[in-house]
Amino acid sequence: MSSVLKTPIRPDDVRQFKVGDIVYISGVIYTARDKAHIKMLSDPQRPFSLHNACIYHSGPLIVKDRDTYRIIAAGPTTSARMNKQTPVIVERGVTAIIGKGGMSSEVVRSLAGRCFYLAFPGGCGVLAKERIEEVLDVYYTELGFTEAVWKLQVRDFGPLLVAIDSHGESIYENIQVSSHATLGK
Amino acid sequence: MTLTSARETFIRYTIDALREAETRLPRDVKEALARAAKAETGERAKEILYAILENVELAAASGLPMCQDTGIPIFSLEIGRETSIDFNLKDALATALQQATNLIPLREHAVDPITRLSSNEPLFDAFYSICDGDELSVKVLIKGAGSENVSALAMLEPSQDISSFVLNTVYESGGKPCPPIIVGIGIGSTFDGSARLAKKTLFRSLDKKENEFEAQMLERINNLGIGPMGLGGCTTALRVFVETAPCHTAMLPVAVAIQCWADRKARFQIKL
Repeated sequence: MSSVLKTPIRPDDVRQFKVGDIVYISGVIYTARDKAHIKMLSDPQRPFSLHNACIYHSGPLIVKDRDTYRIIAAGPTTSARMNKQTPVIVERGVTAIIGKGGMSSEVVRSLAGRCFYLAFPGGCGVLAKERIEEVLDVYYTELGFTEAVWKLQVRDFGPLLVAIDSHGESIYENIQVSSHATLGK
Repeated sequence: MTLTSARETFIRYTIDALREAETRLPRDVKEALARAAKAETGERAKEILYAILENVELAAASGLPMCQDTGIPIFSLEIGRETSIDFNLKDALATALQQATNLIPLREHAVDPITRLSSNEPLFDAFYSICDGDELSVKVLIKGAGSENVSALAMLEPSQDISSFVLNTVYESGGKPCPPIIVGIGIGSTFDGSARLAKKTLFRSLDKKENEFEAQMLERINNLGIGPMGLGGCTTALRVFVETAPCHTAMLPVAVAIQCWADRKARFQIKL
């Protein structure tokens, strides 16, 4: 199954997909990595809503030209570093997470029924940039440009592989099981 | 050549090498990725590898860094013993990196390790060695955090199995280091010496003929089936490089330096 999803993405939309499906996202996504996760969970005045939001694990390379931001490269970062905070942001309403490398079994369980994890090929910073139309806003710049939250307008962002679905299945876990079986050989 | 101009020439060459490494994937790596894309039988693994190759082409055509993690530059400098260098090399590398950060541009992601606040100190590593001749030979390798984070070192007991440690390290890393990876293994020397051995192998060309142990390790790693981006396939690694050095009879240090598919490298030689 392959389709274009428009944000905000609702849990009902997410539940239609299973691992192996391909998705493209159009609309608004928010970058967030290590520091942004900690910051947005502790900030009572969080300037954006996590309800039905799409979080992109990315620390883009962005430069400021006078008053505008220019994206140079914006591929995904390793998602596993955000394992700890992810069940909490999902609890607060996040319905889609884009990243690379997969997430823990605790995260897989926390996504059940309401969120999915989408893999974008790691290292493909220019490919990702091509699908970003505009920087809409930026929050938490005190964390630095890499760690800040960038609100991005994207069009047909993808191809994104449903790598962990909302039904408790993870491609990474399936691969891990078969890899483990060959370890001793 | 005056003092100033030798330093300036060195800085200019270093910036050019950084730009080349960040924006153009070396031919040997591109060819290895293209071979892997052909060899993969699964549709998913093939598509990921073709996406990577497309990204590489786009980056080269637009002159932009291929990955937003513009990494940590690791320099290897071989200084000909007949060369006379009248400037501070480390300081010149730092200046080149600072200028390159604005020119290419590169991402500013250096932080103080304790406070985690942005650091203004340039982030790079450099190995210096003396060789024959009258030239200064410089190699640069760009190391991303995803692959550096899963690299590992073990002080094994001499009776323990080296291959098991290597395989387990790759297994544990899964999709995190952006496979297909390049695996540098340093065996012997000391605690830090083994890490240097491992890291230095990553400067090698993928064209270099592999020995029997390297070929065997590559096969066993690829049999793990982790595949491109950890999503399954027969290409988990493109190459395995091994370097050994003598060690104490009571010791067996083994270091595994993992590099992502974006095996960004460049080099230059100058007479100063």
